[in-house]
Amino acid sequence: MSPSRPRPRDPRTLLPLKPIELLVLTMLSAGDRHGYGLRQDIVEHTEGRVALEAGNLYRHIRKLQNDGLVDETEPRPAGRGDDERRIYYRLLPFGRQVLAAELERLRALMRIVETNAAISPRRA
Amino acid sequence: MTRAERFYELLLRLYPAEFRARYGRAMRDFQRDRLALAARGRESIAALWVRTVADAVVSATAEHLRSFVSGGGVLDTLRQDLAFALRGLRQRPRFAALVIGTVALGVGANAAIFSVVSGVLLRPLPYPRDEQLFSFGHEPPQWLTSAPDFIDYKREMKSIAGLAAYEQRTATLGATLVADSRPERVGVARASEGFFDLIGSKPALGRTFVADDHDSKIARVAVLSYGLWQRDFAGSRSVIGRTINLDGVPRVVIGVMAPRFAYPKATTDVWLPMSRFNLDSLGDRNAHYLFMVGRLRSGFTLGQARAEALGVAGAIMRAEPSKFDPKAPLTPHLTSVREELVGQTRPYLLALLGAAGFILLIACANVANLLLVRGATREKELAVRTALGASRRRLVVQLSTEGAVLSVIGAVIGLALAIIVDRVFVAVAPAGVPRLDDVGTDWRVLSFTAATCIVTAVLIGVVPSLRASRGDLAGGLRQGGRATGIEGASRALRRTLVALEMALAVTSLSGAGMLLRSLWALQRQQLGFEPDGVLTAEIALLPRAYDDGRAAIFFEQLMNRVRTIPGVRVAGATGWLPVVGTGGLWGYRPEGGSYPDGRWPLAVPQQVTPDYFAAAGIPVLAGRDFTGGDRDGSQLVVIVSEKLARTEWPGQNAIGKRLRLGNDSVYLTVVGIVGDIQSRGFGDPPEPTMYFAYGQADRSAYYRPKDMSLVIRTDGDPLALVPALRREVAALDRTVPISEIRTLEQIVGVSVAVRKFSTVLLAGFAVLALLLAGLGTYGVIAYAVTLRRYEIGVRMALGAANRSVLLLVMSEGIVISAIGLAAGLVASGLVGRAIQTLLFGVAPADPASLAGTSALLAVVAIGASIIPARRALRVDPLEALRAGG
Repeated sequence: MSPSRPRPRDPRTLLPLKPIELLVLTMLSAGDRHGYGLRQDIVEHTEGRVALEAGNLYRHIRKLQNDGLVDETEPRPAGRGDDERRIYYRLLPFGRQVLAAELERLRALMRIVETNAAISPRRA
Repeated sequence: MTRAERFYELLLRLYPAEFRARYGRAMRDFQRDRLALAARGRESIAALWVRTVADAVVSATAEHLRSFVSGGGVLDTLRQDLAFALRGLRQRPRFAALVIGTVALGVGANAAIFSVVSGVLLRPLPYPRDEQLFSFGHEPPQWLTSAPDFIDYKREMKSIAGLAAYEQRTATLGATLVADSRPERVGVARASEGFFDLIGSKPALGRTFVADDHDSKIARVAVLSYGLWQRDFAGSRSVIGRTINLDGVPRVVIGVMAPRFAYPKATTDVWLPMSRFNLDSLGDRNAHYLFMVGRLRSGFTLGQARAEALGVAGAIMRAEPSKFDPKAPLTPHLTSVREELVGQTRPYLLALLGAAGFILLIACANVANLLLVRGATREKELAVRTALGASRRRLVVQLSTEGAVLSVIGAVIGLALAIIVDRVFVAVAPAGVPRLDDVGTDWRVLSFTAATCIVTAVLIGVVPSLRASRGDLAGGLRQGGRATGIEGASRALRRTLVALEMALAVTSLSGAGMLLRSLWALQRQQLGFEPDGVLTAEIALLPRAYDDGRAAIFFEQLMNRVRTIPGVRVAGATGWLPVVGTGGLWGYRPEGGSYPDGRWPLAVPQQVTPDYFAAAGIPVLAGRDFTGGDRDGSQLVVIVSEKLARTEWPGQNAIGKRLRLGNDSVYLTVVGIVGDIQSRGFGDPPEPTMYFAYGQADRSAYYRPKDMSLVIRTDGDPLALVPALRREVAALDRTVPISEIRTLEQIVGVSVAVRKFSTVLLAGFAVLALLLAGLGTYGVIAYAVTLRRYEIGVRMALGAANRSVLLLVMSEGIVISAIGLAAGLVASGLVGRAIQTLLFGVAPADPASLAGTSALLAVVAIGASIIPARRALRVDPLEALRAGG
């Protein structure tokens, strides 16, 4: 739908991601989702600490869409248990690069923390 | 649609249409799932809707803000126009600087004057509901109020919520906390019960008076002003409970007032409780010594209170007719406290504001003119844009945006200028301007400046843009952009604007001229005394330390010492100095005169030492001055002013005549007649005056004042003598304070200081107006020369003489100025009438001011025309014809 920006772009220009953007991208990396599905995944993952409402969620999606990270999928064929009227979102290749770069950034932070043993790891 | 869906539709309406179009469907789906599956998440439907609504409100607001900031529609266009306007200004920096500078001048002048107006006239006084407070006195000759009158007014008047009385005087404050502090003179108000409650002011520290404090048997207490507390007690909180020494009487400090509390005067430093009135012995109806302050009951006006007070006064006079002269009835005088404080300054400030308004109008006309000229040269650009499909509305908006940009930049610079100017204003303003502490940039000033800025933008933007966009733009295109198409109409408009500028300049100039002439007329007046080279200082003896005899000896010794100071020509002393002193009026009766009791003639009393007349420069017209021989035990004498002598003994020699002050007092023999003086300064008619010899004043004049003002005529700079004077006073008595050290010239200056200051400012504004108008004329003529190069070239090629070319060009400027002058002279008549109350010895249509204005304007008009005219002479016919064919 929205015009995708000319690429290649450096994914790092978009870092750091906002927490909700990171969550949305992460959930979409596992497969296409519609809005409510994204909410449910995030609720599950965060044990209910992050429960998005429609306005908040779609404002983030708009941002991700405008930046060329995600897009709506083509209309789905009926069958596969999905509701074909639904609008699904998918992660674009550039979105995947941005997500990877963000995770790499977080990993580097983790390394600092672990090297200095600044925070004792919490046992799950 | 279910109810939930319908409600969600409403929520979606909160979002901008664009967002709704893109995500509306997805959000509806989302919400449907949310509702359907809420139960599974153990979420109540109510909580779900609360979250949904909160989310919708927050998100929709954020979305609207976002689309507002990122632009689109109108805002996009505006952004374009702004960028366009700014680019245009950058391309023509000189033009931009000229326009912005002119606007800054106009707006700055207005903001500067308005912040003074706002601080002095508009800001409320620091008392709650200050519009209800009024001061209450009587018309002359009583001026003040007697204790029985006060009680009657307070009891009878229904339109007031309260009434309090107070007395004012100065007293000597003994040594205080501050290191090596000397005894100092402070302003004291003795206030009746309820004074502070009535004004509604709480102390900054401690308390004000309670009922017991007004009982004369209880310990003596005092409340200090914030200023005195800071000055003499270094702001120490331990001042409460400390004992101060006031005129030798110990008093316990119980409170400190708030910083801005300044009632009755800014110079009041100590408040004392007035003893409660004893209803059995209230004293004489004729002893008018109380000031009063009242508060109106809610819903009543000052007019109603005035009418009621008049009724009460009538009843008082009817009850004791023998006490009142029908020719001088007891007439209440009620003024709102604010009016009393700023009333005299108001007309000057409003005149200044009017002049600043003129400056702004002229500045706008100038800028509009510049934009018109530029509009003419931009015809091609506008024509091209029209041809490309821009609507006229679009062009008008764009040109107006330019005007707005110019006026906003100008206004911001102007406001900055105004803030600086106000600092200077406050620093150089004379002492007579009240409430200068309140002058500053507040929300009133900012809103006023914003309004000025909008008016400016409209004036300078809309006129040229309507003008330019209405023209035959296609014609402009055809002619390849040479500015001739709409020239005729636009030129007429420009000439009208310049004529208007000239008219405004003439009006300001003649107004300023009339005020200048008033100032001169005032200062040319004979004061009756000679203020040049005279030093004055107040010496206050403590009544407890000095009885009448000792006081007389002190002043005699002091005068003898002062006379020996090198540079002193002659020195005397008086109870009240002219202009700043107010001694009231005393009744007297000439021997053989037939005046019933209570209807005696009144005169200003003065207790003076020998040589006072010589020191002050008052001529002794007949008889003699007082001498050292006029003392206790010798014949009681009086010296009268010429006016008194002429009133009482017309056509006779007053010397040797006698008068007395009361039925039981002894007769005083007139030994001298002195010249009349304007005892209140410039512009006040002289009052009959009687002078008493200080050496016998306790017998001849009720009492011998312990506060005397020295009047010392010197050979050189009066202030150079101050150290020597201090030494001589200290040599006699170290504890005697010497205060109010000023030259007599400074004192006299006070009476015209505000007038002088505002007149100078107005004259400055008028000159500025004239310069701006001259600049406008110059601009129009210069541009006309540019446009008529071709015509001039042809004329010169055909052999026109220089003189005729010069005339051709100059005649335009002169005609415009003449029209402006004529209109301005008519308007001057109106302005003259508006400022009539400020005029002195000058008629509202003062021929001299108008003639001077016309002459000045003629010079400027010729000057503004001759420069471009001379340039016209340098036109090379060949070149002009080649370029203009």
